[in-house]
Amino acid sequence: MIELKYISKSFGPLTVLHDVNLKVKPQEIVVLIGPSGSGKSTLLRSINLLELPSHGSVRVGDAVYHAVQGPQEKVKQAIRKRIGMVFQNFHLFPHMSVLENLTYGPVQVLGLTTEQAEAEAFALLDRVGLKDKPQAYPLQLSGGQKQRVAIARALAMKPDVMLFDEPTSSLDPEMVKEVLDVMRELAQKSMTMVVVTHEMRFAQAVASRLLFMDQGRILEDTTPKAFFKMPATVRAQAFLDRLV
Amino acid sequence: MFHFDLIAPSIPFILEGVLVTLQYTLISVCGGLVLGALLALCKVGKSLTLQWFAAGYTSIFRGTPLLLQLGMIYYALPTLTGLTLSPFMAGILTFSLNSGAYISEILKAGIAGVDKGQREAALSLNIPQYKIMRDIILPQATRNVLPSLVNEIVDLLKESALVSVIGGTDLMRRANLVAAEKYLYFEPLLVAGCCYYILVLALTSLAKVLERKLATP
Ligand SMILES: Nc1ncnc2c1ncn2[C@@H]1O[C@H](COP(=O)(O)OP(=O)(O)OP(=O)(O)O)[C@@H](O)[C@H]1O
Ligand SMILES: [Mg+2]
Repeated sequence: MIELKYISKSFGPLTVLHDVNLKVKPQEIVVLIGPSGSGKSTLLRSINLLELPSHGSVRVGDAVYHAVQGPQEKVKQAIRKRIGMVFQNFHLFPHMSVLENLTYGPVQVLGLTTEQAEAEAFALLDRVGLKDKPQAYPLQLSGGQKQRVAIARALAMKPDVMLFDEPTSSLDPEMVKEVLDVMRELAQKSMTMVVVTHEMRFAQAVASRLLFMDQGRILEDTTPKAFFKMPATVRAQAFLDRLV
Repeated sequence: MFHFDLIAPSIPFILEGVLVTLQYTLISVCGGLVLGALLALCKVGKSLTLQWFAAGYTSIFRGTPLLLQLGMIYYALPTLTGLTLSPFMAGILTFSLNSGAYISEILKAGIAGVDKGQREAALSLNIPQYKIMRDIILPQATRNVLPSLVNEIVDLLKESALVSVIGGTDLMRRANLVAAEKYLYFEPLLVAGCCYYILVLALTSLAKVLERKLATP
């Protein structure tokens, strides 16, 4: 489904990713953890090319992006078409209602009629527990509600893979669960997911695979069970010790 | 000491200038908005040539007096190109070109002020670049800079009085004509001044209403 080969990324003199290789199979739930600044977001954002790798290649489905070959707009579109993304700070469109947030992409990109798009939007809102909010504006929603709308907005594009970059990190504690519940439901419905998170309980319960990153490298690629029992590397042990 | 009675028959003539002044202002604002949006897109776009062009344009129109620009277009352009413009056309053209420069700076700041996460979210939804600009970035940018845009329109309204110099029969010119005819200055100018002031107040309160409407959708 996803294959990153020898991905490197530098911001000026700072190299943030070093020759990272990663394959994600359909229906895998990959959770990515690691200390702040280790390159988790950069790696995640390389998958849908919000961050363009300096070296290496990104394959999603049968579309391949090669870092050295210039812009490749068509490839970017083919890759992004299959991927939905959820951000830490939601990034809902504030000038559009919840319903418009959910229908804009399907109408403008997928070519659905407004009626089709709205019907699907209502179904998605129901799925994330917000069927009473179609006319609300993002400003009027709580953080947890915003994030659920953001998930629904991404799902409205019918992606094969969902990327989550710390989806609960800017939420008040009492709202974390409602978002994680939606993600759990997605996982049960066999969505392929790559999730950056600090929610270790969620990782333990939902992940099929756990990656530990540090200083731009994937140091461990294992199961959550094995990882939380006894991480293989000293750095991962230190990371876990600091959490507890 | 005041002789409003002497100019009373001429007051309707002055008041009609309100419509003329409004025409200058509104048409030029529209021209300025279109031009300003295009220039702002050049400034934030990838093409270095367009960036350079838009920066040069803005710099020239902000760096020279409006009166000089008006003179260039009304007096100098015909001698250079044989193309003669009416005072009305020359005024509209000059004000549009001039306010386009200012509005482009305002919009550029507005675009820069939109959270870059908005663009990333739109990209992740695979929305094409021009639709991101048109439907996501520009509406938010415009809303953010609405107060500055209103300021620009108010400036334009007041500066439109300059067309009286080339014979445009706006509010200002009409007041001057009456003054010259009756040898009375205070009265006609006061009438015109009140008109300008009321127009500016109306415009700013209209903007406040609009702003409030947009703020809580
Ligand atoms: N656009 C950028 N320009 C320059 N440096 C950047 C940029 N984006 C990220 N970095 C740097 O790259 C490194 C890795 O960043 P990244 O956001 O991927 O880390 P992270 O693991 O997601 O951290 P966190 O847990 O804090 O989100 C950091 O040192 C960061 O400062
Ligand atoms: Mg991050």
